[in-house]
Amino acid sequence: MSNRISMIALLTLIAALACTACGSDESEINSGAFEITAALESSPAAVGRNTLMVTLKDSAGAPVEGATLVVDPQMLMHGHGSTEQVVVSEMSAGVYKCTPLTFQMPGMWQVTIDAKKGELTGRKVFSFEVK
Amino acid sequence: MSASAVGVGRLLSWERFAVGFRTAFAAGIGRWDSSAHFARYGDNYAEHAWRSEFWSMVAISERASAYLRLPWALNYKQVGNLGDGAGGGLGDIQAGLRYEAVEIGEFQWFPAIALTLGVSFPSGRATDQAQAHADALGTSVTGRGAWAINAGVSLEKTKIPWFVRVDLGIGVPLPRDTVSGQTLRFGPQLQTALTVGREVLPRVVVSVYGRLQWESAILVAGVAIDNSSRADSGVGAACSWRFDSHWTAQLAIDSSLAFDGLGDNQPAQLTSTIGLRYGYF
Repeated sequence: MSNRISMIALLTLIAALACTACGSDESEINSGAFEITAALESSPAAVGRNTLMVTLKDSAGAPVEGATLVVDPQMLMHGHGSTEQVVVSEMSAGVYKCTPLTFQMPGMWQVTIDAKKGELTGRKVFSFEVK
Repeated sequence: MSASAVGVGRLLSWERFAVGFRTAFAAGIGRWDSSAHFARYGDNYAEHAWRSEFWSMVAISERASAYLRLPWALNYKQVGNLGDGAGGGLGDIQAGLRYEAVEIGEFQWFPAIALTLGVSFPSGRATDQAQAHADALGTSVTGRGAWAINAGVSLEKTKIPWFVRVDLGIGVPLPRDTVSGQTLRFGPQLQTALTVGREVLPRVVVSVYGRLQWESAILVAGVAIDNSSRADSGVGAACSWRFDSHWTAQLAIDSSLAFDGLGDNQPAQLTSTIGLRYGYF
């Protein structure tokens, strides 16, 4: 009898396991006072160190110089972030280089970019699969 | 009769305490993504672990015993342009109690029932703590950084020379603050395993098992993270040889069922384990 109950429990768990599939495509969320665009220097994203180039413009389309950017890569589905701190440097007017953007393991990562200049703030969040 | 590939097993009815050492090599073979699709690791990524533990179990009454597990790990990773390297340290220490509610053979038709209640200490290093230690590869990660309460029930029916055992367990991690100050809580975890074994020679027991594990979504600041639940399944075989009245050698092999749909958001591994157990009576 206990074996039968155990088998039913096992089959129920297998069924639950088979129903866990739900995908997540690359996505972007842009909010705030800036238009933030970002692209990896070398695409697609790979495990290891990557470099992210970020372009910051205001609502009129003019480059935003001297902004403060914070880039936070997170592997939310595993409950942790990157093992390295991202350093941001402004390369030219409104163009920022963010490196190392370190993905220490494959999987779905979310990168949040917070930009601030004076009272103005903006945020861009995007996620992609690292292979 | 038992050939335990997971946990510390139980004391034999005449034993006062038991101590053991086991060491396992886990070769990473790939991972399931959050769509339950399995992919083998490519040439740019490798992840292997050498995990060992000392454990002890002591009788505190005729039916109750206490156990302690001291794990540590040596991890090897190769991560794209980060290169490769190894690191490790103490893992998450576990301690708990086991109560034999119904002992083997106590009732002819009723299975033995054992209840366990344990706690896992955050003595290992969590991933978010690796950054502070300049460990870009993350090889020093040996734990989850959270306290956890674990409870389980084990049903075992013996009909010499066979036995069948069903293990069911639940783990409830407690919330913790990450290095960045966020409150993170891993979801409750359910585990089950079905083991069938047989004494194939005097004092030699061989068993095979199937296991399933499921963990619900991670909460960050109280908000569930989409697609963060996990699942894992595997099969294994174990052999134990009580070559002396006090000493038992243990051997086990475990493989994740590395196919689409049989795991979710989780690495898959092939693990080989050897162990040695001493029982005092």
